[in-house]
Amino acid sequence: MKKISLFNLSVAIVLLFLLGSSSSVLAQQENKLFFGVGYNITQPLNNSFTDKTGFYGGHVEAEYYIDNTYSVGFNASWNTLLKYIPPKTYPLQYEAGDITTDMYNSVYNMAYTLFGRYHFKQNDRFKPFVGLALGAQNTEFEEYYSIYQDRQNKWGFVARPEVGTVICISKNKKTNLIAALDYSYATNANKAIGINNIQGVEFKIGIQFNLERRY
Amino acid sequence: MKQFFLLLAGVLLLLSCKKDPDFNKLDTNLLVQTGYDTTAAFSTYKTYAISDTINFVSNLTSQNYWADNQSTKIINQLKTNMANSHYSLIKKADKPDLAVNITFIKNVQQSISYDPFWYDNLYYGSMYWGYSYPYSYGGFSVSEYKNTALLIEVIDLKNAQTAQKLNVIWNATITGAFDKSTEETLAMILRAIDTSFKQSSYLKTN
Repeated sequence: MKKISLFNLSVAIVLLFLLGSSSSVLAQQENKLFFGVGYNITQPLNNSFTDKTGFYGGHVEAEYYIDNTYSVGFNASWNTLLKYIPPKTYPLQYEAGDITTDMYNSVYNMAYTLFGRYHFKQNDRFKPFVGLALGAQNTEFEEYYSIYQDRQNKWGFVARPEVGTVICISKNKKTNLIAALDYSYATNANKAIGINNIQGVEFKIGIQFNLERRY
Repeated sequence: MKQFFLLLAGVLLLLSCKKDPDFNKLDTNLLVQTGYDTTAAFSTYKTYAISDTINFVSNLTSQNYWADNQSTKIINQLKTNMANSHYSLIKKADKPDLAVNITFIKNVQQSISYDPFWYDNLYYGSMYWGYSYPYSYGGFSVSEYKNTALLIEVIDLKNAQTAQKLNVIWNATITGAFDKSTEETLAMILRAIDTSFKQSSYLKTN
């Protein structure tokens, strides 16, 4: 029930956003289509399976400016969260006995989202924005111990509200830096290790290029 | 257009960035699994016997025993732990209550694959069983997988006549990325034997 409510809310926000953008009468932006790559740092919020900050992440995205205020786009992002657990003894689940091993818990997330952004200022060097990204997330839950590996693969729905700023770094406005902070909620669950969903805060920094050629 | 291709190359490079754990760190500790017969009364056994060699099972050689300085150290480590559990070592001819059996398994398999797009071998991340020493020639890569394990079994001789069979009342399986060739791995094995007894507090007598 909670998931359905979140989904409905997200769809409503996107529809309102698109409605707003279609009726915009603001001046059109000259450079419309940007491609970007960037680096992501993720702090997981709600699980002890991998609760360490993940420094292995990145994203690629394409952003289309409808006008100076609104943009839409596609984003693919990924991150790996790792946690080392020193040697520990565990009771066997299905027979009498115990097992001692050290292990790595690993969560690898790959999210594919469509996003919309509202940019507060136009024609300035800094253009702060708020946005919402919605899409699908694939998660690989893995446990590495000794020479063995357990793996489970799950798909889920992901919603990601974000705040950030675009920083124009070229005179022709064809190259931007972009920095943003987002909260991510994904429905990917793995009951075997007690994960009902995946939540995290992500800081990302990247660079955008406009590749349109003018004659 | 040049910019675009640079960007595309960057994207492809970044897309391959799934971070693997530090496998070398995992290699420094062996996995120790123990199991026991819940009906066995461990305190009723007093004596045991152990062979002075280790059974050796491998697809590399027909030799079926392991007897050298390393195997002696492993057997001595077991004797020490059995003594700490208050079991007395006697000769097989003196009819011990228990027999301790040690087996070392080492199987090696090789696989050859070809991938023209990967000149460096990146197969470390795709293993599930065994560990490997990958090497490559151009797009060809040869992976060597080793399955190694040290098995320890404690067998009930005391009740063998009554039960009409030899019951294994305790066993330990030690697995990991190890061989029987270096002092470092020997130290890991000896540490793992200690762990197997430490996690089996019921394995003792008065």
